[in-house]
Amino acid sequence: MSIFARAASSDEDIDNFRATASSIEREVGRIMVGQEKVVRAALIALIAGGHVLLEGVPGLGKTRMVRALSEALDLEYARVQFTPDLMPADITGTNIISEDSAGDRRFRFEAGPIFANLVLADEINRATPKTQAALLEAMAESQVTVANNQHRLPAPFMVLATQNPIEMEGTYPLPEAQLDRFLLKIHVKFPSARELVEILDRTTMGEEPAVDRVAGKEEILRMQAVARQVPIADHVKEYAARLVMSTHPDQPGSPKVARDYVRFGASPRGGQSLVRAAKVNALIEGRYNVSYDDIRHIAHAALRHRIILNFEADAEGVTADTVLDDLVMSVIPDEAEVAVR
Amino acid sequence: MAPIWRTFLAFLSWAWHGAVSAGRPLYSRYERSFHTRQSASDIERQLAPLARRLRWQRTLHHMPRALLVCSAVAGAVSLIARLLSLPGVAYLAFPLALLIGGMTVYVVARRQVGPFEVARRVDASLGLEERLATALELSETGRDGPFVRRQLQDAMATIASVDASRAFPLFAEGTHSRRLAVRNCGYGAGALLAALLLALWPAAIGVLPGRDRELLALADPNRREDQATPRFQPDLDAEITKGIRALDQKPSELGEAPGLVGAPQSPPEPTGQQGQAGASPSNDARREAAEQQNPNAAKREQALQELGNALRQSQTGRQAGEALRSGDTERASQQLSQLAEQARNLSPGERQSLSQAFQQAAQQIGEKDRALADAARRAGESLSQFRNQEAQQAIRDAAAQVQQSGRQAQAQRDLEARQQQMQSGQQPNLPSLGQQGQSQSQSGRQDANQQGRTGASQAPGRPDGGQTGSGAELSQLEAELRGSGLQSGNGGAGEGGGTGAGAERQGAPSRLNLQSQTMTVEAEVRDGPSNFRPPNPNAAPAMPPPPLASSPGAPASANPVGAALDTNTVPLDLAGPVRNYFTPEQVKP
Repeated sequence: MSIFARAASSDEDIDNFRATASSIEREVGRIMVGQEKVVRAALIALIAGGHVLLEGVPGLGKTRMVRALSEALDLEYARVQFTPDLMPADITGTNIISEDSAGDRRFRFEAGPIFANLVLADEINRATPKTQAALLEAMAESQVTVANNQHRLPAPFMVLATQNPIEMEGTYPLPEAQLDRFLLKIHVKFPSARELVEILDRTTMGEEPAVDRVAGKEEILRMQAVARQVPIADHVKEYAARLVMSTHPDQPGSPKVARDYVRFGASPRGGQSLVRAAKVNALIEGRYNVSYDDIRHIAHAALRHRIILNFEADAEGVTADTVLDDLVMSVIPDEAEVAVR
Repeated sequence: MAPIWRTFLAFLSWAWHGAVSAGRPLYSRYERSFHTRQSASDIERQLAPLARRLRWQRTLHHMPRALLVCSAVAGAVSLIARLLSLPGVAYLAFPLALLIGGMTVYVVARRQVGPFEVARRVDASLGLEERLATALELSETGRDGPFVRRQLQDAMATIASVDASRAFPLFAEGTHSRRLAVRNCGYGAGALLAALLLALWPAAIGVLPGRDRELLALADPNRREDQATPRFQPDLDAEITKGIRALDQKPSELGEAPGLVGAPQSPPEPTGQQGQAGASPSNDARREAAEQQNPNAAKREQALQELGNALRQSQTGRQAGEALRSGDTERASQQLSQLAEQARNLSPGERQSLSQAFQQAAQQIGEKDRALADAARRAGESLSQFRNQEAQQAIRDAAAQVQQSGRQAQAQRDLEARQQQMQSGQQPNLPSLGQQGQSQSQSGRQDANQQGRTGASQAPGRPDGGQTGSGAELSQLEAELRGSGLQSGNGGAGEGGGTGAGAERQGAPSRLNLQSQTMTVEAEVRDGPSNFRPPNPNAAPAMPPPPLASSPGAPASANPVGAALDTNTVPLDLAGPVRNYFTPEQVKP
């Protein structure tokens, strides 16, 4: 029996979904002060079966959040610090010669750090493209091929990569193919003053709070299966598709902002990410269907790293978020919605 | 033709869809009409009353748009009717507009609303996060599962609490539909007012009311500020033709001979005076016209002189100036045309001199001849600014204007001379013919003219000049008037028409002789019944008196006038008819 069939037949899983998600958020929130949206996005990506690219300056708690998430979910956690001399084998693992008691030598696969449920690829843009590309197969197909041998990665499998947006020297920006593998790209913003005081209180006085385990691998897998069954109406899917299409400057009827500042639009994988994440968001919000608001809520995180801006955008300081703001405003979901505006 | 037709159909389609687009249904793959109550699902049954409310709301919301459509149609039709001067169509505009507006309302009201559209509109209106539409779609697809059941339960619970008036409010405050309705009502009222104004504006006033007509009436051609006002431009050709026709109908006013048709019974009269008296009304009108035209003609001639004076100061334009001074406008025009061709090759000095000459001429001509002054001014300016092409054109215009003015002046002079000639024709200014007429009147015979006409009359005595003026001369005058003479504005042509010849023409009568003249007949009172009978128009005149004795051997011309029949004046081929014509009936066997 597959995990999807097992989850789909259970009303209990649906009932527990929101409670489990809220518990996870609450537990991670004990470590992370503020950053609720980041935690929510990471949870959505985890339940949707995707990967997250966290972008923010150092010291914002990205690594800490990933660790807290793994502790709350009782998941196997691995951290890889990406450096320029990091080799693909350092991530995926390699075959080594081992000698048994009989004296026979044979190759034995030594799994790399990627064989974990939660993999933190810290400062991923500091590794060479060759090493970065080692993650492609793992992220897309949840498997690693070493010496013609395919090795399945444990489920659930999630890569949380971080990158620093300001120190660009000596870095290798992720190629589009690599970026497209990430379900969401999350901007980790600097906390407010009040949150900062709270952080200081928690981390400099007494013992740090501990994270309780609220779910395991099985719960996460069931939640993933439940999320896939969330219904989405035709006109909502159509809206998601139109939103993705609007990012393409060469499409007829594309908005002006796309024609002016976008070089390449989002791929179909972006549309898939949009719908998958929207379904999880709907369930977390306590609904059994996907709405326009779910699409809008997740659109920035799901599409911002899939839009390649042109030189004019760079020159004028236009970011992908700016473009997406205009696109979300300009793509009207439904005439019925227009009528009540 | 086909593209025009397709464009017209596309326009109609666009206008129609624009008129009824408020009720356009939302697209849905599963959209259908409502099932009957028995076969409908629970959620569909719940949606049915909401669908009725939606149709009602849509129809009411369409009313302002329909008003706008009505007003637009009425305005357009009224405007077309007014422009084409079709007052009846203007009044038909309003029933037509009402019909079209009513049709749009009918279409919108009759348009069916499907359950999916209702669900989506309720979702959007109440912010239900697509609950109803998703549930309806799940029920439509027949899927089952925990999510479907939960979704349907959730939708049913939600729809049970939906208030139709809250879901589909009628012009709720702050909504887009309310703003749209107010805007459409405003536009519609304005357009309707304009349409009413167009339709009900008095036809006598016309499309442009008031001020323009006053300006038109008060426009003074001599005021520069009134030049922009369109002036009344008479059709000179038609006016002249009309005048000539009037002259034809009243030949007597031109001094038509009274005895041309009937047998002249009246005694000889001072025919010159009679001709003058008879032609007086027409002559007055002509004189007035001449008095009106003469000042303009004089101004034009003066303008030509001014131009000539100015051009004489320039070495290049001296020949043209001399020609103008001498009154030879044709040669002056040719010189100016040649000058236009040479304008490109003029040296700077010549160019400056000629430019100054033209500008001086423009100033001096001023209002005397605006067209000529304008051409001279343009020529001067363009020459000074080295715009050769414009200078050439301006000088050509000046040449054309000189030629035209010269011709007009010439025509005016000709007409005046003709007028004077015709007026003086009543006086004995044609001595030979006049004297001949006088001499022949003594014998009751007269030479009508040199065209071989013979008149035997007891009341001749009118000189030939009068007949000339009323006959062939008028035809010639008419021909001249229909030609270049028309441009001179000398509409009062045919001045002093005629004095009458007193001789009956032979051969086919001319047009001017078709009208008879009332004549005064002298009678004597005698005893017994009167032997007088009204003169038969076809009767021959009375026999001439018997010939007086002439000295033997003398030629017949030596006899006194009327002494005998001068058959030599009758062409040989007409001798028989003339003899029969002049032979009294009682004398005939």
